[in-house]
Amino acid sequence: MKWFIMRKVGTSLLTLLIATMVVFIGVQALPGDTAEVMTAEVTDPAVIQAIRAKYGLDQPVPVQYVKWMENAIQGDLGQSAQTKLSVSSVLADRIPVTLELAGLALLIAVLIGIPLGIMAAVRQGTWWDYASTTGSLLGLSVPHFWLGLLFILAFSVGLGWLPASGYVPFFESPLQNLARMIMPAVVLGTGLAAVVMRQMRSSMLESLSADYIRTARAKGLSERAVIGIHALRNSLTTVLTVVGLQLGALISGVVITEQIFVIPGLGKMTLDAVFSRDYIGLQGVVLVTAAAYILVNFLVDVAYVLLNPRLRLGGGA
Amino acid sequence: MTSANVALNVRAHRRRRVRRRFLRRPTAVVGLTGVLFVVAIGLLAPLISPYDPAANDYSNLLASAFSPGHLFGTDELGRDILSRLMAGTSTSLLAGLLATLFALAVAVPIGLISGYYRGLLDTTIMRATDVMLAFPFLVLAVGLAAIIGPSLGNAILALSLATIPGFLRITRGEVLGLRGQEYVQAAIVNGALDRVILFRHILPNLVSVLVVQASVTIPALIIGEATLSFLGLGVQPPAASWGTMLSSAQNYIWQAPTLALYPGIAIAITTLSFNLLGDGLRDVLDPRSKK
Repeated sequence: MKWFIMRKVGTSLLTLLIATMVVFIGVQALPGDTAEVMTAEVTDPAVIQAIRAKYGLDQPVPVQYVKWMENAIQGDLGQSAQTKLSVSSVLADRIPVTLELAGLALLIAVLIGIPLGIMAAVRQGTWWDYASTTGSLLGLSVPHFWLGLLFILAFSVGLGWLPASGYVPFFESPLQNLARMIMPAVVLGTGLAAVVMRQMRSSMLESLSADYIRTARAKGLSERAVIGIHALRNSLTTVLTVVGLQLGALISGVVITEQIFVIPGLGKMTLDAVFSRDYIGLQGVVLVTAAAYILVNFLVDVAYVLLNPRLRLGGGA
Repeated sequence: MTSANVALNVRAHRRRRVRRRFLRRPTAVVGLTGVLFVVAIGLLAPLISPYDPAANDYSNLLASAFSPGHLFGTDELGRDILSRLMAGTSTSLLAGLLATLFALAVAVPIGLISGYYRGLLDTTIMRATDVMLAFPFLVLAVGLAAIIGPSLGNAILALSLATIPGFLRITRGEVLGLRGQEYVQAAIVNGALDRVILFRHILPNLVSVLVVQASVTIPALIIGEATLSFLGLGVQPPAASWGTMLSSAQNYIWQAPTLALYPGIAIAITTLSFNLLGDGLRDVLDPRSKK
């Protein structure tokens, strides 16, 4: 187990290291460098050269990369050429917003997806099954951003119940915060709920046909215990992996949802950075996204082994 | 009867059985019909479109549905919504199909080699897909659009780049399993060339898994193209795409709320049809999904 975790830490760190290189080289590949963006009104090449020298932009790319990494490890991701703000402090403001949105969406996905998936599997072939399977397929087929527009149409334009956009920090006014977060969270959560439901249904069906379930029934356990304890526990590990794999989709969903509902999180920061050519900001936000993705995947892998005794006793996967 | 004839008969029989099982599923048939309908519209759009989808008519702005000559009304520049929906169908299908085909063309050969030869090469390739997966598709697409500029072609490129790691992993996983099968081992022992084993013995067995995967990837990429165009990173105005139509609809959501409905319904019908078809194909073709 210890060996397994250490190996996972190793590969995750390696992936992260390569990802930082990709981010750095990717941003280097963008047309024009930071010095040109900062000196948009300056035409004197000597001034541009001086700024390049000041920020180390005249150094070879590997040297710049090492310097950037040194600073990044110390929590300094540079300063945006446009806003003159420290990228790290902007990220610190934005990360909690996105975490709240993603957390609420995940909660909604799990609260809808798992019970519906269990019901569909236990009552396979009934109208329950058909209704929830069709519903989940519909959830997969409707684009997030259109659902977002429909919600705005219904609840803001039509009924006038909820504000169409904006953000209020939770600790300033919890109610105002939730009123603005509920629509985006539901929009983001439903697509994920569809995936969770489908996975839950198929892995429950598989569990329910296994020998140990027949044994559990044969020894007279109640149906509730058979499904709730024996079948569910084995199905949850599969669902956990799938939720982990959906993280990329969740992050993509966050980008578009934040854009529609004008929520100042990481997703909106990414798009703003692209449209305003804020390369240093873009570098920072993409790095944080990739690191978060790698971290969650690591946690999912470890949780998977912890939940699955066969892998635990076997000394690792 | 020669052995080639027997093989042909077996194959024809299998095809008939698959077709029969597929046609017995009402949802799969609905999906197939929907896909054929959408593809027909996409192909015939230039012929049956009532107006030029990019032609402005400033005397008839934001006309409501069922107004004379415009079944679904007109948009903020007086363009006919129905014509734009039809033109958007071609764009979306083109994007979904091309991006999927391109991803398959890159991922399948690499996956075959990775799973067949294993070793250091395989480890390196898998590590590379890990890194690619660490950049969610929208972040990747946004970055690419920033580097090479927003256009439909670049959106398709970004979508296929984001799809490659998934296809690659599936192909590799299947190859790993097939490589251990007795008939492949027998071919190896008999001294068959690697490329014969890969292309004659392994690849044909991947087809059904890849077809199923492609049929669920196409709708995801259609949504992807619409998302990118919605954000201004795909199709550029005045060309019509469901995404750009929704993006301008958002600006007029208080004056003309119905503008936001049509393109979304078009996307939902298309992707739902593809997903139903994909589910049907999975039930019929994928041996592991048998209940």
